Amino acid sequence: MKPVMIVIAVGALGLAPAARAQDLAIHAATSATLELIDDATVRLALRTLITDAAANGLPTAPLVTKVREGVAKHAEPERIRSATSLLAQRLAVAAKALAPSRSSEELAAGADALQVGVPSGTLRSMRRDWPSKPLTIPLGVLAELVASGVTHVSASRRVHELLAKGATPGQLASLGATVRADIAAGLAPDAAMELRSKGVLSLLYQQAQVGITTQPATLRPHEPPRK
Amino acid sequence: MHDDARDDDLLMQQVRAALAPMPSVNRRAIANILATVAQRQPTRVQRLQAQWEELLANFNISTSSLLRGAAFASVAVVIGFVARGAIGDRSDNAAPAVTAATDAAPSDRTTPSIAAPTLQRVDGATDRSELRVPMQFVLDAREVPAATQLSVVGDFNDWQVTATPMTLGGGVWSVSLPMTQGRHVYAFVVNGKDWIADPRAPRTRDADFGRPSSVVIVQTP
Repeated sequence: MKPVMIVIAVGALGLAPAARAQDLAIHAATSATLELIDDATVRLALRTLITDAAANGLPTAPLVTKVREGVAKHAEPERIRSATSLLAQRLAVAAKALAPSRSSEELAAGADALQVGVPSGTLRSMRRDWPSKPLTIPLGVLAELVASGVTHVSASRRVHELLAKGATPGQLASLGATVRADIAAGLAPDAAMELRSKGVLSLLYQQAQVGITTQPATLRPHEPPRK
Repeated sequence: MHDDARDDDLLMQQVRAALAPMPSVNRRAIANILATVAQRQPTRVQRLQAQWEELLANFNISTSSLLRGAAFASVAVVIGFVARGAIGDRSDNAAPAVTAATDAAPSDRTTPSIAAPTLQRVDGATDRSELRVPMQFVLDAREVPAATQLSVVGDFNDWQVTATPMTLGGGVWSVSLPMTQGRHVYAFVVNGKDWIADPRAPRTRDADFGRPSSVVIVQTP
């Protein structure tokens, strides 16, 4: 065996304890949370669920937080197990759709979007068009719009269009707030979405006319950077 | 005849050249050169390089391949442990953790002696979404006239009822805390037991546990 190979192999052995330490930290945090549940069967099921999620490369923090939420809300143990299991499934789907992202926040946002009815194909499409752009805010706004009653087709199309035109996370967040306000004022959800998104598009068009760019052109899908 | 004379001339020239005295040596110039060389010390890198080459030469001659492998393995182990320490530090720094020193169990739990330690988020990549921005939660005191204690609870504090108490001032309950960007679900807890949604924020359907909750979308500037 060449010395270089020996160095690599033994270096990997040296790194192994780091992964072990991380496993122990996950274990400690999970154990402390699970101790708050009285039902031993549910505790075991949740421990297995979280361990499997970690083994599959999924973030476990959202799962532990979900357990804590259930405990804080005095939910029945079986209901906590069910909710956590469903969240793990959504995280797995989101991780696949948003790959190669490993961001806990982004995957949690994707899982939220899935929970309110946004199809996984929409997540895949957004990741494909913006492979390196954080999608936490766009997915959060999308989830909130759909939860407010906007159809996922309309919400997905408009959010996608706004991202392509260079809308900032702040503009997207404001859009969500104004659409919700319009719905609360009595406007139909899809109509509110159309109205407010056209307003943002108009603003982006005006900014482009006077040379104000809010986002680098490289964020637009399938377009090379402008010189 | 002419050829013999020319050969004799060449031979004489070679003999004369061989027997001619060496040119005089400028001893001062030689002294200057030696002094310059002596002043020109090798750099640290050059010295290390020379020592390394010397070490390698000795090593190849005097040690077996097994011994060389063991030496390389020892170096690799040291590198591995150093890298482990560095990674460990980084993950600790990156942890967006809930930093509450005490993480008490819910106030009305039947086994209050079980005190949960601080949870640490140990996974997830660090990116711009880890940046935190201050967010303020407010509630008009007239909407909770019976409240003596009020706290905000949500996914940002791991749903710990006692972690983020609100303070009353000027007729308003308020608290500020740093939050990561994204969509967050939260609620207010009155007197440690009654959950209410934020009347000034959009409500979310709590499909999991059926408690009133509100939503805030936090974005980094």
